[in-house]
Amino acid sequence: MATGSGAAAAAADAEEKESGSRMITLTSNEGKAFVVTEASARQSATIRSMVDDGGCVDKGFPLPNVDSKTLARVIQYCDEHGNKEAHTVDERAALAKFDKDFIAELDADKAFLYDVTMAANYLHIQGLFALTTQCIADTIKGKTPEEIRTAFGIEYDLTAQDEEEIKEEDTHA
Amino acid sequence: MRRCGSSSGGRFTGGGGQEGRWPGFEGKGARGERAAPVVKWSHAEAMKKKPRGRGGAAFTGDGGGWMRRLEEEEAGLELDGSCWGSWSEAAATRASGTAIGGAGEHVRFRPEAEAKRARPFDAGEWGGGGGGEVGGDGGEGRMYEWRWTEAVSPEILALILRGRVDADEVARGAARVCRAWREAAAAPDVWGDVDIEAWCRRVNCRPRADAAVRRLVALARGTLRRLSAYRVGDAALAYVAAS
Repeated sequence: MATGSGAAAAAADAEEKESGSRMITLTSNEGKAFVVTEASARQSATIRSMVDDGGCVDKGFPLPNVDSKTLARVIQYCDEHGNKEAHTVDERAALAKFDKDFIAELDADKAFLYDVTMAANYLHIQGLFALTTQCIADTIKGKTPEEIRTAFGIEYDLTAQDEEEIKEEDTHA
Repeated sequence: MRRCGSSSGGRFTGGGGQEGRWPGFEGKGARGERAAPVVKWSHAEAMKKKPRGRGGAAFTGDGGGWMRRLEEEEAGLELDGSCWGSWSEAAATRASGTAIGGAGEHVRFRPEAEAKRARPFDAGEWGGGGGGEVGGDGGEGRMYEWRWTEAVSPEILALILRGRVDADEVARGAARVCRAWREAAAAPDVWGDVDIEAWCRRVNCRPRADAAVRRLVALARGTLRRLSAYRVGDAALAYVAAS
């Protein structure tokens, strides 16, 4: 921190702190308001661009596609990643552990995992989206269709025509 | 219990053993026998209850112990009186089973076999409330989940599959899960960058590799950017080059 770039970083830190002290209101589709720090909200590229584009910070952001339960969980992720520093090895390890626990919890509830994935996609929270999609992909990997159905609670609804096609695929490849 | 009883057995896979053909409906065979009490309900009574019943009660079963959760107690009690008795027996015989709301209506409206086909759409409608309820409550994966079936976003699924799951696994696994997944897996962007080299080595058969390459090219529909394969014949290479 003794170098010139250190000073720049300090300035950036100060700016971040300042912006971090601003609070932003996110409203779920049930009308429940969640107040988060700006640093946390900026984890979402969607909100970040709206904040940067100006003005509407005071009014808050309605999120018609996200329900309260999902939003609460998403904010939990954003708080962890937005408000905490990840400069040292320890801090990074702590964050990685948080991610691991976070996704393990979601993994146990595939319906909720889907909601969180959709919310992460809608809000463009890259880290969270990567986390959930990777978890889903890991669940799919190495499984038969039946195992996948069981894992996600999916219903078998293939038509006779689909089955016909599948049979054909099997004979060809 | 109307909601839990009627379709739930068929709807979820109970865990271990599966029935080959209709794996998702493992409970179905067994259920067929006990479907009778449900079908006997008077439509009038059922209709009367429907609005309240939807999403009202959810059950999770775990081993022998059944837990009942009632969102609307009133509906629960009413249902309790009318049919829980017959269902509790049925339920107890199932080692593991999870019940979900909103499915009861199917049985009244259509015969079993037909319901199998027709269910996905209704399930979104009827199962929505209950499914969400139970799922949200830390329910387990074996229950039917509309979010992952007809409501699943093809774009998201394509994003998940692309680059994260091997092509041959997609073709053999994800693409055969259900209709929505099949459609999603057929999206060209899933097949833009494919590595089937490992599969080719495993199979080690030129004609099959060739056939696979042709199919991949067809699937990608002109969006193929990179294809890694092994032991592919000249004809297939020419085909790739031409497309």
